[in-house]
Amino acid sequence: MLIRAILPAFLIIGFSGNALAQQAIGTTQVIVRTVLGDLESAQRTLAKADPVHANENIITRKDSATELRFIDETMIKVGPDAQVALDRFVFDPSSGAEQVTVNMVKGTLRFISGKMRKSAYAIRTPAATISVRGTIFTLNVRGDGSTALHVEEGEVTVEGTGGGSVDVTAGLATTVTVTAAPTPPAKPSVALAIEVAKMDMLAALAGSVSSPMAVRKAGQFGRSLPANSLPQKATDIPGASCSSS
Amino acid sequence: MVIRNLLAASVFALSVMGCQTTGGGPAPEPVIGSTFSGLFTDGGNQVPLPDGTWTVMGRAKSEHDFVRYNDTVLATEVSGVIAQVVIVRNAYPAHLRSFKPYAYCGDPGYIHAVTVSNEFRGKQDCWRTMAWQFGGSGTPEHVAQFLQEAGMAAKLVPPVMIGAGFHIAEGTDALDVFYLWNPDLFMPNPEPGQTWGWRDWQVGDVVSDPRKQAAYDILRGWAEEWHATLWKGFRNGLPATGAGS
Repeated sequence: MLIRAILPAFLIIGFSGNALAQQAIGTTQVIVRTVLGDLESAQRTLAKADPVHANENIITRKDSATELRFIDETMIKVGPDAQVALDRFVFDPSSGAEQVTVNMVKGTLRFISGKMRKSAYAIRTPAATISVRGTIFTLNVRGDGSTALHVEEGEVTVEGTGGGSVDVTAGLATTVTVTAAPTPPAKPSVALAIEVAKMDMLAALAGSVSSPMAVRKAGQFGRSLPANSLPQKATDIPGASCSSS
Repeated sequence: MVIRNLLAASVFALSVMGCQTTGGGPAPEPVIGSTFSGLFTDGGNQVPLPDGTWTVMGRAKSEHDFVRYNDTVLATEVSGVIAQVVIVRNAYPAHLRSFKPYAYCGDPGYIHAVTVSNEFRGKQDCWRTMAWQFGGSGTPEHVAQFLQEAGMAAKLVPPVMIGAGFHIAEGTDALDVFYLWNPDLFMPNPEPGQTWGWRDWQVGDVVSDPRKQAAYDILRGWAEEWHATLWKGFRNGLPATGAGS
């Protein structure tokens, strides 16, 4: 019921042209610098809290990033120089119809699954199709389509376009190209870690956290500050540097 | 690269050389618990804020070496964990004084340090990316108040945050602002059950870790852009509705 109430609200948010004919499937939560929405050949610059639509291409420019939250609470974070197509999105709890297909063309992405059943999610890259089993994962798609994937929580199945598949569990990673099968699960590469760090730092500048897992870990294992963090008199601050001229 | 004690640098950096020939006029006092978005105004200076709702959690006035200071700490939080902090220092003269060159402009102990100008009695303009250690002896009054406020509200403050510090001064006005992010929330420590400590973000550790280096490179790009926005605010040239990220 809540979703049914929200959807009309999305539709009347002020945007024009072809986008009006499309149903909003989520909103932008974070916008860092330049993020574009490309829908049926009409391109717009996205701002925070803008609606996004099925069949829309999301494009981030250099040093830019975005975070999208879909109506089923699936979240994706997109790093710089990326393109991701929101190919298909169906979420109707009343009828049970659920399907999400996200096509990551290039760049870095973090995917956090929402309320749909896990089999409803499919994330595609030029080199692989990723099936979700309840999860948080990051991936990076390079210009040649090769895909590096790291599972942060849960498990995914990676099927290579060129054949082969592998199940990847939390903490492990795989790499797949358009011609070769996914590599056996192993520790994530430094190259992937760097791309993810760039994405997360960019998004952090706009107040985003990397994932709910990070918040949980910080809250659970964060250290208390030393007991000597007591107020000092102002004169305890090292002196200002004014001359007496 | 020379590894310095960034804690000491952070505390010293608070001793901004603000020297004016006339006293700052009374202005509405930001009070603990008040919130700001987009822009924080104090002492006649506009300070742009990154995205988010910022709460004043530390506030102190002090006077030493013939300079009166208005210090403020603003913070955002996510699920009980402090996510971002902005530390603002405005200075007012008690007597006629002039500026000494700012000691931390161009300090080689920082990952990135840029000095545009550092004139005696003239324009001072420098910034650096940095880590800030919370707690410990010598904690300035407003920062200690922030820690106490956070503690009373059961908000977890990380022992270290990273970000950028700006020092700008011109004519009879000066401003220091530090923008800090909680690394546990955007780049969790990869070790199970571990959060980041002060030692993890020393210069030597950063330059030997490609992920941290990538984060700092993003911070550098942000600081280069933000620097211009900060100057606009320093000259009261930002729109009252706030500043973009």
